[in-house]
Amino acid sequence: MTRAASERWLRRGVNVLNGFVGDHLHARQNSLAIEMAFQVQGRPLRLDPADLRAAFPRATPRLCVLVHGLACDETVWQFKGGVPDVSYGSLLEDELGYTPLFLRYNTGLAIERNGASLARVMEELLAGYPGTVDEIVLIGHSMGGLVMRSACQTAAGAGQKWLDRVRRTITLGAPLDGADLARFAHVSSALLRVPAHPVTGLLGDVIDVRSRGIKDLQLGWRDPSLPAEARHYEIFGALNRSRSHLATRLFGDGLVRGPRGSSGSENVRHFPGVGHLELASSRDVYRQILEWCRP
Amino acid sequence: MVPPLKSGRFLSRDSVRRLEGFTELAVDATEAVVNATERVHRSYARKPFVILERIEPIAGPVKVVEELQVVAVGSIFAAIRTIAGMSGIVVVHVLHELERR
Repeated sequence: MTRAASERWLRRGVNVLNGFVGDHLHARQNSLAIEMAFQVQGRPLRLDPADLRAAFPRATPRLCVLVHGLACDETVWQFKGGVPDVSYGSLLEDELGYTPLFLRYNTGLAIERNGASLARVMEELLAGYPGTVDEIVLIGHSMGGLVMRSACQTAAGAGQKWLDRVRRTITLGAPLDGADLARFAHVSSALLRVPAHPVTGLLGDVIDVRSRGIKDLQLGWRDPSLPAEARHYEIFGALNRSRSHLATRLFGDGLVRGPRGSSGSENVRHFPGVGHLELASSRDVYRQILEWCRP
Repeated sequence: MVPPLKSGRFLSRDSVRRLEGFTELAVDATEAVVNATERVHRSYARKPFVILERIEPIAGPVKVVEELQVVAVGSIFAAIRTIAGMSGIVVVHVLHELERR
């Protein structure tokens, strides 16, 4: 295995650990705990004006912020098997002049906590950004969609300026109504404690090791105070080509089921045959994002 | 012998921080597993004593034996926790030493 490959696997391992026990890592001040930051070429970006100017020599007034999902990092946005470093962010930069910003964060922390951190980071970004910012598009995959909505709610409560620039929010496979798998884990853990038997209790303890971030996924994030002047779009995948197929009705995109009865809404799109992870790097999904982001 | 990096150091700062994190997490995980095992062990070990304590003539000695057993088992689990914790400290110290060199 090459050094780059082992580094990649190590990074994935750290992302998974953050997803599953990230709250513990943070509480113990473990050096594996990821600090929230925008990433430029795999390095965290400092948000002071000099560093931002150096990182974005061609900074445009249109920002596109991409927020990954549980146990992932910014590499989830990279298209597979093609030219390296091609993502929704880079394509939106080429075609519509957006400056893409890729966030990395500890997905094991509570969604509300990550939302508050994102709101703070966005405010700092706006303060140090070279030039003016006229427009912000937020794109969140899976848990990232919930974090992004939570950040909007925090910013609305705190009267933060960046929220006024948000024109569009796009969630990709976000469990807005809660994730079935997270609910299953919650119910299983509760049921295992019912017999008051040491072994079943132990199994319940093992299931309960999951992070606060995962526990929050069972609730979703449907009714925050989203900016009224922005447009809010939702994209959902499906395991099967047919939306009425049993597999799709039971498991949605493999992890998240889309809302029922929203087919008629122009702000909600379903992509049959596109799995949960694939939603972050699909040509078809990008075409839809491009259409929604066109001025 | 660990080969030195191009910089002349045995381990980079990032690698040391990661290894330190993995070590601390391994110690935390060991402690959690030991605690859970001890809880289950105590709960099973208590069962025969509960029955034997109902037999009045031997209830007193049974209580003493149970207390001895609790102390012995508790010491073993405490020793495992201490050894795991100390191993973690030693590994982190060695990592820092390698980084310093």
